Amino acid sequence: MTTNALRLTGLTKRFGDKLAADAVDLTVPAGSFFGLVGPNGAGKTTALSMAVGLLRPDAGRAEIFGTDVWREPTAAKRLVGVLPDGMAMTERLTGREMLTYLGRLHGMPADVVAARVDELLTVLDLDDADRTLILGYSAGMRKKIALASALLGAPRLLVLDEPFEAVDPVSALTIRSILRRFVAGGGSVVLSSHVMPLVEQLCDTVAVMNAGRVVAAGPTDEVRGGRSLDEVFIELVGARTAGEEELAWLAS
Amino acid sequence: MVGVLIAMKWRILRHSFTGTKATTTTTGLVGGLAAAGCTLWLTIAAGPDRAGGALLLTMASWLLGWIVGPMMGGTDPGLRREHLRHVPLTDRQLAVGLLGAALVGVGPAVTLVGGTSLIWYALRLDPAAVPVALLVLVLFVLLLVALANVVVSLVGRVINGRLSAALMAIPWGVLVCLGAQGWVVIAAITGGPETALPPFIADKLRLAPSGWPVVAIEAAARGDWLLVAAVVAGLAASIAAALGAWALLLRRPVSPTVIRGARWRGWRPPTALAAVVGKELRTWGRDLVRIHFLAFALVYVLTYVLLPLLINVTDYLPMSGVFFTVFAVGCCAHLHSSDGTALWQTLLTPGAERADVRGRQRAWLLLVAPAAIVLTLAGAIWHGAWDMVPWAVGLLPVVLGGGAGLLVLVSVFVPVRIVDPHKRGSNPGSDGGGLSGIVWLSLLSLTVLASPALALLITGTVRDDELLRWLATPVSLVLGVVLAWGLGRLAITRLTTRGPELLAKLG
Repeated sequence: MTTNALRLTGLTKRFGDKLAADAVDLTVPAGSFFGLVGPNGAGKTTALSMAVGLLRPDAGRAEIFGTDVWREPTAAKRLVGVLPDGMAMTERLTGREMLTYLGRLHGMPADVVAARVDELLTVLDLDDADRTLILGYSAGMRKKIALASALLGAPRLLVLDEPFEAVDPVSALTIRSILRRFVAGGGSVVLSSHVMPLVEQLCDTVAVMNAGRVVAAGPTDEVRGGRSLDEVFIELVGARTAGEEELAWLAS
Repeated sequence: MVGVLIAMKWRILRHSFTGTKATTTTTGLVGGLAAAGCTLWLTIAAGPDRAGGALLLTMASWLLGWIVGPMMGGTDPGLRREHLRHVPLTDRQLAVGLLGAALVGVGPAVTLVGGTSLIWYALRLDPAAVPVALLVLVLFVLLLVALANVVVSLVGRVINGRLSAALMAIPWGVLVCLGAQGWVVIAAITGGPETALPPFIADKLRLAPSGWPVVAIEAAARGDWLLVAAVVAGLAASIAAALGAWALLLRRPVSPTVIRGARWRGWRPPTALAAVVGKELRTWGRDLVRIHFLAFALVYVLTYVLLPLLINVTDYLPMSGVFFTVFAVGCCAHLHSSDGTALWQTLLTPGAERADVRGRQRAWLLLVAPAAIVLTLAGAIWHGAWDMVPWAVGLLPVVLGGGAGLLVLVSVFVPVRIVDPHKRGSNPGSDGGGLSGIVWLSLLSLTVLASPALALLITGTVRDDELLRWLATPVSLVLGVVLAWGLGRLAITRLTTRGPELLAKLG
């Protein structure tokens, strides 16, 4: 019996001279709400893309509920819903059309697709924009429709890259409650984010990435060790903040 | 300011010289140098009485190339107006700066090389005209670059709906076809390349801006310095006018076009394949670039088959359906590239690759085949004789079937990086990749694929064997079905095994 929703072992990816992911090891226990944090360029998106089958790793393994993503892609893909960051979608369809298209592409029965699409659009407050093509969606609406497409197939694991970026506070609240309910119902979530307080609130497990490596991982409280995640994060990634003397010419 | 932008463009050019971009740049360089070589050869090899005429023609084709080329995705400006939106510059400064930056690139360089034929021409007439040739050459290149940018900005402004996207294809299709086929008309009028350009054509070409450098050099050789001054002033004024127009166009950025979807009427595709077909047909109806390309193929082919009517030749008319299909393959073979990173949706859906490829093939056939059949029928009736019918019927199935196969094969195997739809700038004219290579690749491959049927038709016609000519039809049918299935199969396999690599090339 496998208890890991996602397991990455030694995942490595090199782009030219840059080692974007350097032997990434990560274990996401089933039923956990997992937060992946790290500064820009830490390799979060690279690691997650390799984990779900969108970017072929140079070395290492990725397993979703014990199924190897790169050896048995079809079986693995049935278990996961993905929200990538900044990628295009079928832009010339309306939101409802795209979800219908994806649902049928997944092989779901037409009735089930119609019912789920209706519900998803209502819950995510996208049902007003029935004639707007995805191309005309705002950044926040794009995140929501991408989340809807990740949820559509009723996956057991959700992998979300920056799901809260550019989302307005009301929608963010909706998304949070959807994700909480998903985890409470036995699902597992992996999300990446820059916003520490949000990860602290939502996630029971966190990992910190820096320069292509996982530098800390474990239950959120353990990683924090009584401090705020912000402080721990800055200490782990060795970031520096601007001192008093610097940028003296600014607004002087 | 101009210096900063030129340095910036130079850096962009150097940094972008990798992967597919390097290939397209190199191809552009080689093609451009070949064109420059042709220009030089034509002027140097032509006899003294014909050099002027040859130069007038080649200069006119450089002008045409500069106006049409950027719209066909030949150049990538690298530096966009959007990049400089927040820099405090007047529109005029911006236009001058962007002109300077646009001068750094392959296009202006090869134009300059080809333009040295003006210096040759001046040397031949009178060495005293050489300084004039140098001056007008520089002014001419400046004018070409400025005009090209005005056209690109203008087109971005004009293409703002489905109808205008289709209508804009009319001038392009006619211009490109005339550029490729215009010599037919000239040859028909003059009776072949051996004779000098007839004066009435040469006179008209002298009036066009492309003829002005030649006029200036000839005037300098005659000692008519007043005319030289007038031409130089005219070139300078045209550059100023083009820059002014460009500044005006830069002032108000184009608001992005909003295309609305149809009202929801309960779309319930019965299968995954039907879902892809529905998605593709909707995209064909809503993507301005796709509409424009398809209309372009139609206009080009109509011009191509109607042009010979000028010299009372109707033989091409029954072939219009075949030609249209061939061009529609070339103009559509970048399906995956134009969808960009949306490919992730297909890749993450278990087993969706087959439906994706087959659906795209079917949607394209649904769109192109009826039009091709109507064109063939109408053309055959107009032509009114049976002689071309075995050709049209014998080639149509193989180009439709083979085209549907080639379409997806090229689309999957030859990705061209195009800016993702949701990240495009306000100007559809400046976001195209190097698509002309794909058009040529498709044209050549399709000719090879159709060669068995073509061979039967040619042999049958040479030997005047009716049976052999009609034998091409069943061969073509079988070939069409096999190619549509087989090449599609190859595309599916490729997408299944190397999908992530394709996505990486598109992102």
